Amino acid sequence: MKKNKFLLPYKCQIAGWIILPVSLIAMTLLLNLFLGKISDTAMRCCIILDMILGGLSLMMIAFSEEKSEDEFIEHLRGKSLAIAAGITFTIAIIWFIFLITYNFYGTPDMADTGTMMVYNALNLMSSVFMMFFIYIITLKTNLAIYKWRCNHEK
Amino acid sequence: MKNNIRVERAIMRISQQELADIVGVSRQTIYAIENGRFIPSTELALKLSACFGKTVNELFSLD
Repeated sequence: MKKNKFLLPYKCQIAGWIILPVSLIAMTLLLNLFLGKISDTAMRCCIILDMILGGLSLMMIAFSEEKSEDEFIEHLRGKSLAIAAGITFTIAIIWFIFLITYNFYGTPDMADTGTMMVYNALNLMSSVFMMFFIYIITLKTNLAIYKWRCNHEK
Repeated sequence: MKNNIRVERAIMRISQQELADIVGVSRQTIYAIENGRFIPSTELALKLSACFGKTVNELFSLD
């Protein structure tokens, strides 16, 4: 049976699951222990590096093969991706509408173009991360449900 | 789409896992096909029919 050629090997998924908590713990430590103790530039660099690491681990989890990859898992992948895209797109639109409304009726400092650009960039970045998160959660939940149902079949 | 894979499997006395191993898919896939949650590709349908010694039409039918 033909396999998806764009997927990474299963080992990458394991590596991703190891790197993800490490990046989350590193971020927590950075924000709690080192905030104000190191220079702003160093802090910014560390946070950016940590976010890249986190994003990379999410990509490794999302785009790696399962132990037994077949057409049904491919079908679940497509379904999960569609769900994740739908939810992320809806939230992004709501966030965008909120920003526009706030810009018109909110405090004067929010009307600043620079602030709006920062918020829009934040929105875009969080959307990408959120999409990966929702995709992974949906796919893994679906797989777990089918596995559970299989094990409880007479 | 209906199918009688479960019946054929019972006749042959093989488990979902055994059938999955024969046709080269996961057990979840066989479960999903049997319960009508997933329609297999032509390739997999042909493999399943070959495994049971039946034609695809005998194994799968429209509602």
